[in-house]
Amino acid sequence: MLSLSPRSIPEGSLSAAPIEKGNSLWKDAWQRLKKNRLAVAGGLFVIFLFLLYFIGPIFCQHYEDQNLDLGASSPSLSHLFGTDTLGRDLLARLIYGGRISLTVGLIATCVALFIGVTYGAIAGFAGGKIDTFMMRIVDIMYALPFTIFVILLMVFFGRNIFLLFFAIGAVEWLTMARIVRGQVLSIKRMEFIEAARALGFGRRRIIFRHIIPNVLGPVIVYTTLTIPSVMLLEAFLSFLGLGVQRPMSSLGTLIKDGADSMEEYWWLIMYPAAFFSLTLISLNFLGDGLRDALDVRTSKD
Amino acid sequence: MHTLALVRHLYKGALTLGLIILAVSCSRTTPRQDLKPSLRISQRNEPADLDPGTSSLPDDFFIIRALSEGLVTISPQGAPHAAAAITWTHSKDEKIWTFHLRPNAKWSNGEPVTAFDFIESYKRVLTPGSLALKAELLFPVKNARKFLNGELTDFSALGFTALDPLTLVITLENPTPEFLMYVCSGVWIPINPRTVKQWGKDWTKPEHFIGNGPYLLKQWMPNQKIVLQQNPLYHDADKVLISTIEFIRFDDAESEERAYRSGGVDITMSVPVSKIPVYAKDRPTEIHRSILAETRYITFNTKKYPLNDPRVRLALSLALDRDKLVTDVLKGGQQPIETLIPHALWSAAQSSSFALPARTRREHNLIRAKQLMRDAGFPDGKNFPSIELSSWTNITLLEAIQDTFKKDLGIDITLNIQEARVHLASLQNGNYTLGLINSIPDVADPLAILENFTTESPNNYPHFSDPLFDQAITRARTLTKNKRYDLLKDAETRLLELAPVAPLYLNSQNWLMPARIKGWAADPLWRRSYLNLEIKP
Repeated sequence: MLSLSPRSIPEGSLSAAPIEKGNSLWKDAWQRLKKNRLAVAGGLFVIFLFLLYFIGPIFCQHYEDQNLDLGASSPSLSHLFGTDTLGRDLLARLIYGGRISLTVGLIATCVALFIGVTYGAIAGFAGGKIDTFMMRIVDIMYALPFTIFVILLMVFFGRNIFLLFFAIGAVEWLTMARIVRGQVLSIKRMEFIEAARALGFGRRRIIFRHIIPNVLGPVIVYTTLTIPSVMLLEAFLSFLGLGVQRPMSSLGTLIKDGADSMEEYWWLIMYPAAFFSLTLISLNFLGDGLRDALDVRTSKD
Repeated sequence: MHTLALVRHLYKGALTLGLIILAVSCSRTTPRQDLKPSLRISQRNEPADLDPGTSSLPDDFFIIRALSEGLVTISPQGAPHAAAAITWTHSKDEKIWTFHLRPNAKWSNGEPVTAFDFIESYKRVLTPGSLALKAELLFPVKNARKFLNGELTDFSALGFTALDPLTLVITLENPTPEFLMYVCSGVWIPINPRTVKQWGKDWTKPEHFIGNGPYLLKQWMPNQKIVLQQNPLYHDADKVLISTIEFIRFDDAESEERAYRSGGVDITMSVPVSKIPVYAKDRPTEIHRSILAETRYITFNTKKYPLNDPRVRLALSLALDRDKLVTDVLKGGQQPIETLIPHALWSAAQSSSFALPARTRREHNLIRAKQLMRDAGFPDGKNFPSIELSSWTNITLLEAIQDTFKKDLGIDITLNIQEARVHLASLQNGNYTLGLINSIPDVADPLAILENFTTESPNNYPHFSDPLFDQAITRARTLTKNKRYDLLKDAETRLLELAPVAPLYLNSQNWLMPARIKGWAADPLWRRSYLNLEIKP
């Protein structure tokens, strides 16, 4: 006899066990990030640098105050990091230069982010011929010798710090566009997008409300890794004499000036180089940590 | 697998080939007993050309003077010295000069050097529309100025005559006691007219170059090096003690100094400021210094607002603290000056030396500068537009000047470092606002410097034009000795009052050279001679 009444299933077994509380993606990521000591240290150091670069100038000398009588002096109590050949306080110039470098890094990355994400999302979502066309443009831009492009821009439009932001941003968005396009291609086949379509939402709404929030993970990761590469590029341009206008300083110009006389005045190269490396290392650690936390699949590679 | 094997084969082949080449080249360069040593000299500016007629930078003439020689050259002691001409005489009034050429002088293709070649060379420079930048150094010659300006078309009316192939007679416009100083200058170096006719602009390429100097042009690798080799046909070949000279291009003092230390160059053009005390302490026999007759000054574009106002120019000039710039920034033995003409030049030109002008104290100058700015309508730099100071060198000096203008006059200036030739071109086109530049007199004659500021001069970088000044210079050309120098002194004073330029300092040269190199003469006018230069083992 087969009595399979529904009642035979013990009651309460469904209600007894409380529903496990789901973690959001962001919370998971945060948990994972917290476990990564290097990333936490990097993050803390980045915060410290931000405070130093943006609040520090209030407490120290003006970066362009010259003291020709003093000239280049080694680190002392009145000038913790010493002075350069024109008697300017190196700490003040370092803080100011760090601010310029970090600002260039941030703004240029934002420009790259904005252009790259929009462009990649549109290309990926549109698909077909438009996608092919847009991505071939990216390929062509990739083929341009990038340094020469920036140098040409500088020669034509003069040396302007805002142009520097723009020029670097305008060449850094390419990779971002490719990453975003790839993500969008896979996401747009998913059910929730189809649902959105079925509900009759417009394209713009689907792209900006449904797709872009879902590709944010890789974008954030890539952004944190772009900032240091942009800073490196700025330092490189400044080292070539194409960067910021004197008497302004950036980490790149400080390192160049220091490198010219490093045998006599070691402090002129040591401190800027140390700060530059520390900034880059900590940003990279933070970026790596974020990648591990947000993008579990690639982190296993 | 296949490709890998192929690559490996190729690699092996290349290695063997390389070894063979190495072995062959080694066996070839085994030093022989009679081989003269070679020398590597740093060259900071790539020459635009090696044509004595059209070159203008002293750097170009470093090389040209090794390849060709004029009638006379300057001896290391500063006196005129026989070169292509073996003797010379002049008429009593110093108006007619006769040069006797060497009978054994030859061009490097074997042709004899004749008086006709010299006359052809000068005709080429003076022909209207020629690209000669220093043609004015031929102007003491009768009618030369008129011919260049197109007022005269018959070249035979000029003061050049060849009595026979070996006698050149030059008639001058006015009695000119310093005429030999002009003849020493670069534009008086001859070219072989037949070579130039055959190859046109390409005649300065190594495969075509024909000169009459101690060296031959062997190789010219743009922006890398220029190689010269001893000329066996040179008349004083026994005075040429070095077989090969290489001019190696360096971008800045730092790279030059590094190359010197690693043995990549024998004589540098300069020493980085931070390294001067180090060398003076550790290797005092290798660092050398000489004061030059080179004035470094800031030129103001007098055609551009707000520098068209002489008060603004004078204020900017007065505000500069030259002593401080020299002692605390340049630190290379330069001399601060407020006048345009080096004092040594006055005393060289005239036995009774002018007293050094009393220097005003800077505080007084600064008060006057601020007053002038107020008068011009820019109290404390208000309403003053941001202007650009351009240069081809020395960013530290510019930064110090920038700071002075900002602190003392409230003026913002931006800095721009350009390549030397670009910089010079923008000064000549008037496409600049403030520019750092140097004046290296071609001739040890105050007139030659002041002439640069007459309205028609191509080297008038400030694009300055003052009828009174022009008149004074025109009159000074006809005068002699004391009267001339008094007039020139007045003209200089007027120039400094109108301030188209702000003289900063007399430059010095610091250079590195091992003690085993003997006979290297440092000339205050940047002229070089490679004769009797030797390397002791």
